[in-house]
Amino acid sequence: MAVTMQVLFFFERYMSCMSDRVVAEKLNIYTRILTMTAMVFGVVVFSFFSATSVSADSFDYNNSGVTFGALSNFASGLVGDMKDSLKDTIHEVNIANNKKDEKGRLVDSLQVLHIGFNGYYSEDGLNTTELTTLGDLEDEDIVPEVVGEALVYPNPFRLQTGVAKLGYRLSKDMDIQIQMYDMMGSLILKRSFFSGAAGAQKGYNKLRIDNDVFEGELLSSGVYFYLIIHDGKVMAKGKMAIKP
Amino acid sequence: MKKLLWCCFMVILFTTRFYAAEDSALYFLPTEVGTSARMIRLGNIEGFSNNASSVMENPAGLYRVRKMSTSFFTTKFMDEVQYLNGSLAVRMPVGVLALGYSGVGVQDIPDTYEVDEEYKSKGSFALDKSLYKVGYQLSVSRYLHFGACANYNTYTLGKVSAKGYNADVGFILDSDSLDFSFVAKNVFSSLPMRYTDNTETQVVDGIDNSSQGKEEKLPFQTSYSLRYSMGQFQLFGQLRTEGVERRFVKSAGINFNPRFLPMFHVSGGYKQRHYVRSIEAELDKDYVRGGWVAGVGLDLYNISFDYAYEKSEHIQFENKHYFSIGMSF
Repeated sequence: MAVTMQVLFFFERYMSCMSDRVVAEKLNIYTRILTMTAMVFGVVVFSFFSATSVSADSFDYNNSGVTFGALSNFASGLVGDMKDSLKDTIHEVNIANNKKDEKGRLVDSLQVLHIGFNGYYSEDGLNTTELTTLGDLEDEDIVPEVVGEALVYPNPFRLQTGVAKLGYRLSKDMDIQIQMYDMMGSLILKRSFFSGAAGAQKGYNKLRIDNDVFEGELLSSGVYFYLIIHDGKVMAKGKMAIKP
Repeated sequence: MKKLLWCCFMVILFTTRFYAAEDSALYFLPTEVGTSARMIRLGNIEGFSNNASSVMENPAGLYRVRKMSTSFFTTKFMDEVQYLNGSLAVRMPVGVLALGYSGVGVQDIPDTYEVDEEYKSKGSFALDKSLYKVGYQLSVSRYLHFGACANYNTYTLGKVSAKGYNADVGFILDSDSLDFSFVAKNVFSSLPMRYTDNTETQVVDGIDNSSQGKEEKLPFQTSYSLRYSMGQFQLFGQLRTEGVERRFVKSAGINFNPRFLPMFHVSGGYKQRHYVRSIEAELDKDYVRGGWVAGVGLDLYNISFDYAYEKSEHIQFENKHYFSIGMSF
């Protein structure tokens, strides 16, 4: 269509020998028509994908039944780009959590598409004023932290025969280290967990504390102090009590 | 001579492994950290304190009390663990009688519950460990001094409590330049801490979490300490048994007391501690950590002030400070 309009434009200019000012006005009009057409296409495509339910656990974009025919008609090289973007987004979003980001947007339903421009879809609809992708939010804008308290349950507990768990919520996948000290301030336990591994995942993590931690060696009854450390900084700390 | 042989027999007896405790957790004593800043700055050398705090170290050392003596000591670890010691000694017509208290406390330990697979706090409880001592010292001669004390331990952790009795014995051989101190603590291994547990929820995930009727052994400890006086310097050395296996840990210290400033003391020491440690899933059952300590002391008439400093391995609280004050008349 664009090519046809360009041809018509040059044919008209040639035939009527218009002045430069008139030519500029007509060129401006045609450009606006082209932009509007592209935006209408964009809206149609967005509506089509937002109506498709996507689950991070089960979504397979190659066999999901989603067709990219409309995009193929628009520009043949754009489909692959969109697939990759969609794939990266799903890996980074935890759809199981109904959490909002610091700007009140639902993180759960965020889907990032690269269709010539950056944008995001939220409950409030299409927003093209902020060119931020969800990938950027995950990696840079989310502050690595322990959300809420890091607590041991039950507290106190018997190490000899019982089991306790240390529970804590991480704002994102991140490397952490657990340190434990006795009442003399001596380090008795240190464990490192790498980002994304069990114990260092976004969301609520639980670490089991039982007799195996010290391979059957018993600790004196009393209070022990644990720290959750990320990048050399203490993110959370707490106390657990051991009964005989 | 017979008394001296008896003392040597006791030393050999307590040195041997056959007296070692059974394989179980040992009760943590509030005196583990030390009983005065003076003994800590010397590397936790026991038996050579000049005031009432001797009742917490080696009751035989009470022979240095002239008429009356008191001592107070405190420190706080990790901004959470508060240690407090106090002692009083009075010379009687025969011997020296002393009372001692040592305590450690931790506040605001969260009481937790589970809701929606997450843990929440519903209040807090506290830990309080106290050790009361009544000691008596008797000098057999100018050179040989005996001491003994009865111990009463109490423990409260929320709704878990315990109590236990035991005793310490010790002696000191005092010569002009070389002193030897021996003390055995919690000598009755058949007297453990006995627990009662009144916690409401005793079964968690099908596992009995109750400590009702459980026991914890009071740690049997022996210390062999030497002091050698050499002009303005005093050198100290000590072997001490610790832990379930009663392995030896070593201490050494030096004290400088200048002639031109007799009320001033500067000390430094090295001490070890034995405990179980797991670093990145590598368990070390016999881990021994060594650490350096240093400090100063000031004796003003009948009042002595002592300060000791020690480096900590805690990531947030890198320094440990100890203060004590003593009065002797």
